[in-house]
Amino acid sequence: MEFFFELFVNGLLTGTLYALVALGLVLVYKASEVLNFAQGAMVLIAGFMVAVLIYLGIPALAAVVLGAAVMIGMSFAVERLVLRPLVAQPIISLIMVTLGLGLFLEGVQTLASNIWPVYTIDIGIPRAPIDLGGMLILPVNVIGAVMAVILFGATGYVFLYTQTGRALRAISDDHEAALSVGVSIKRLWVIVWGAAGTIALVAGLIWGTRMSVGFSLSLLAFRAFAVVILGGLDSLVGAIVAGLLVGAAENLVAGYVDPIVGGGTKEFFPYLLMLIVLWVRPYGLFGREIIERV
Amino acid sequence: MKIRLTVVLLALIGALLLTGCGGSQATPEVVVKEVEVTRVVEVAAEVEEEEAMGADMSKDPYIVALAGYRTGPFQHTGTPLGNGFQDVATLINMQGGIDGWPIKAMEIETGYNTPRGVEAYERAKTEGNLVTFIPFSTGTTYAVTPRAFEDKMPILHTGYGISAAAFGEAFPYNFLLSPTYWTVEAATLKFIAEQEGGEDALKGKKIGMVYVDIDYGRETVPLMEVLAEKFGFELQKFPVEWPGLEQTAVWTDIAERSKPDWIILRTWGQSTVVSLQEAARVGYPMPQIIGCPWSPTDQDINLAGPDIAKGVRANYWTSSGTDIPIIESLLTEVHDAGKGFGPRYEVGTQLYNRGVFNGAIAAEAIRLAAAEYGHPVTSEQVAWGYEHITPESLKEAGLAGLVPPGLTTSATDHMGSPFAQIHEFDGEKMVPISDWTAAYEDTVQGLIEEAAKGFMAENPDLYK
Amino acid sequence: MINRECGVYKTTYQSDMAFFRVPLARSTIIVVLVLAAIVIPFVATDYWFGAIILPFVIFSIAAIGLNLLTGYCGQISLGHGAFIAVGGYTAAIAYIQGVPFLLSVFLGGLNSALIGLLFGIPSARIKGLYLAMATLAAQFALPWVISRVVPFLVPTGLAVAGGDTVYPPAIYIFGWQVETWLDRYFISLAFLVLLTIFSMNLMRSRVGRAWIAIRDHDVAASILGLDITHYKLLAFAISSFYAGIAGALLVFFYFRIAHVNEFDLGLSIRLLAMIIIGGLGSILGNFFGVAFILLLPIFLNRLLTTVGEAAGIYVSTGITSGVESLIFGTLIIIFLVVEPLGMAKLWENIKDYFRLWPFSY
Repeated sequence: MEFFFELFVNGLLTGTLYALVALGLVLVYKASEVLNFAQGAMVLIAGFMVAVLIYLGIPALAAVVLGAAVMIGMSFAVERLVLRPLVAQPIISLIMVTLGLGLFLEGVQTLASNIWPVYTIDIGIPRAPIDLGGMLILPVNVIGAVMAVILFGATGYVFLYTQTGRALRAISDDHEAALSVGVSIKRLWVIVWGAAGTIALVAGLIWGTRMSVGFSLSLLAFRAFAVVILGGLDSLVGAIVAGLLVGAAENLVAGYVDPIVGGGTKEFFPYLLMLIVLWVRPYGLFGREIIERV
Repeated sequence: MKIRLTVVLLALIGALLLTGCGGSQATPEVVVKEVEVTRVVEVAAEVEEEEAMGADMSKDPYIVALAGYRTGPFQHTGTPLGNGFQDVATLINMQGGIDGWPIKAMEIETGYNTPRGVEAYERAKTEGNLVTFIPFSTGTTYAVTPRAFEDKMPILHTGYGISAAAFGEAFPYNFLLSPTYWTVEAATLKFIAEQEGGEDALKGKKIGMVYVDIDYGRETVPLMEVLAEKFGFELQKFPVEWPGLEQTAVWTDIAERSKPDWIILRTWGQSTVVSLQEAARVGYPMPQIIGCPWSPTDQDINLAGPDIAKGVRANYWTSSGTDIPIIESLLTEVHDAGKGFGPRYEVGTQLYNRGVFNGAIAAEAIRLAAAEYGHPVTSEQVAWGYEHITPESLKEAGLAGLVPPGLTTSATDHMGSPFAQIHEFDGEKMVPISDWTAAYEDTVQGLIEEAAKGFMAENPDLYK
Repeated sequence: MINRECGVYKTTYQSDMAFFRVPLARSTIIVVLVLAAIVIPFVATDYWFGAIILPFVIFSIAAIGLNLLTGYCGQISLGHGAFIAVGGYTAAIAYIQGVPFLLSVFLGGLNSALIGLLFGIPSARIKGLYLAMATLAAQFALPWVISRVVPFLVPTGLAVAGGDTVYPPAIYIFGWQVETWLDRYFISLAFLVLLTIFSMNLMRSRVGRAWIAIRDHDVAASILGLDITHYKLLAFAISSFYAGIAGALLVFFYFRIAHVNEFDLGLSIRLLAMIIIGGLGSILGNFFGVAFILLLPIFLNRLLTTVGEAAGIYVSTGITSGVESLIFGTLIIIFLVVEPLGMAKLWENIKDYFRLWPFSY
């Protein structure tokens, strides 16, 4: 039973991190109906940037703040140079553009990491595990979970109680109608990409502390893809629930099934789970069904 | 407006492509001319001045190509390897090259990606007198091996790649020049047996293998299965799916359910970092984790946190440290002169030293081949050089103390020396805690020959 | 395709649907084929064949296949890398077991088509991005299955260690050994030409029209009486068949080894990038896209190295490949910003510009 609980709790903690990256994806999707393939690269570049700033002698806190500022600044550039020229173009071209953006960011990281060979972030999170009633948990996971709760809370609050939130909900409801009543899509895109950048920064810090800042950080976003699809592309609640579900389920399956089949189930189980759920609910657990007319 | 922009864009791309093509096509022609010129120069140079410092750069350089990776998930391990390789080439050229002939360390980026490794091989061949190809990846080694037969090109894969290549008759152009994965693993088991108090004590023990589920990780599973049967211990396999960034379940299993007495680690790059952190999380005793030569390395430990990884062990076939003639000259002649490729603190770490070993041994093989056939030598003649390495020639090259003792190769033995040494992380660096050991050589040799002969039987076309 | 269309007046539906819609097209195609079959073999070196021309030909096959599915039928697939793997492995194993070469390539395509069909089933219920992500399941599940099934099919191999690495032996076609790059190139080219003609004809048929209807509006198409599930599945099967053939050729001729890590998600994404940059729903666009995605990084890399050497500094490969990826990403963005519909549309624009040239107004 100990085995079960340790798998389960650690899975949930990992799940909050998936949910965090998924949150960034959902925000961008809500505002522009684009699945952001650059999210992984954003996690990578944000984490790496903070690592380099600390390496260059800037205090950790200042480095994090500076990192967030750069990510937000980047959202302005992305909106102006990449997204705005593509308004009203096929969605698939927009998706491809995010892929190009991802390549660009990965290129910047590769270039920079060959100038400053920095692979660790030390923002003062202890590495020794915490003993929680016989269960061993890494402090960085706990901090990650707390950050996820805070960010989800903040996003939820913005969506429900502020003017910007209302505009965002309007735009995800009906693009053209929202535009026609004067909602500024340019402003919203900056906000959304800035938020996605900040979320990427947090994810980059947590994951970077856990497994070092390296190229693989950008691969983790593909797990978040399974999470957003499972939860529904445009659902914040879906991102949390599906994140936790995927985190816990993949860990349990890996723990119990791997020894029988010789390992590796973790890599595709989230997608299998996603397929099963999609068969029953084609728009994910909490996604809004699209009603089509001819 | 749009059209004009388009035309400009296309013109730009076109220009770019042309320059790119131009580079690739022009090179061979230029090289051919150079060869003719240098043959004349060579005679004159030899007569006039033997002791000239620095290689004669007008001579056609010997190219040693490295399919390296300074990008991707293995960046932090690939970079020191590449730096060591570059530095040793600089050193050799500063010291007069190979009898005055310069050596060119050509590095091609692959990102540890096998198709790009194959492309690197094809490209390296067009760049001039390529005499050795170093794949630095087990996958690429497999992919270029059949091509090496066709091109008679030595493939130098030290400490990785095809274990069966130790059997020179089956793999005439593959050179390990270091213990195979299997040889090292057998020595690791021997060490475990000694710690437990003899081979009889292994009976009933549980030994776990944590490995990334690719060719590199899996390579030693058959050997361990044979040995498990022989000594009666239980082999527990914990494969981690590539690239191995999520290992929570594996380590929870190790701590809560399977509870192996020892763990043999076969991960690489970022997956090693995760392994060490997860091991620390579940509180698995570090000294009971013994890595293969490629994990953990100093770099991995630094990333995982030196405080948590204290006591972790690994079985290496090269020595760490700067107390080796060639490494000392690298520090004094290359790094002090500000010509070092990477940071100075890297010098003396395992991976850097292995990069040095690769470059230096390739130069040594060229030197041996030239002594037999005269400059300039071809790739096939360099393969002969690799088969005639002796401890004396290594000592002359300044490699004594870097490589396992008694490294002697022949046409049948492409491994040279079976010895490896257990290192332990003392909180600052990896230090050797055992003698150079080799173990169960009959079992290992049996497996090697079985595999090599199986390969020969399956591919008769290669040996025509 | 690449001909000026001015002065051509079509008076019948037949001529509008003809294989060569412009009289000049026939001669253009012949010129291109002559170039490919006679000129290239004389000009190209081994390096060009091995690293550039052969992969270009083979990946063009895969790209055309994916374009049939995504460009014509409107279903995005992120699983094609895995379908290529299935084709490659099937063909290699069949060949090792003694099946003749051409038949084993065909078997590779067939098995890939079956697997593609299987993973296309969700398209009956899911669409759009949800479907794209559902095909991602294939990309992650199939390599896992392959690495666990293959060791049982090829008991010994080069990789003794439980290996999923398959190593095709020397290739004979009716007793003739395929040895040089030239042989490999001609065989691959023959496949490419056949499959291109097939796809172009397919698009002129009932199936092609049905696919386009589904892409443009699937609800309307089903109201018109099309069995859209049937056609979507057909698209998945045919598209994967192309992927399978490409996989077989890759394994036999290019990699000369079947290695599961080569067929990763990156490959799927690159394929998708090829057809989007090239132009969805355009056969000509495929070739542009493949050239862009496959060859541009190689050229960029060479260019940077050449520039570095000319300037007399040895730049670390890490830096050059960083710059390479950076420029590559930027070019993708620029191309899509300039023309979101891909390079095929760019080509159309240029053609339109020159249509009345030099007497434009």
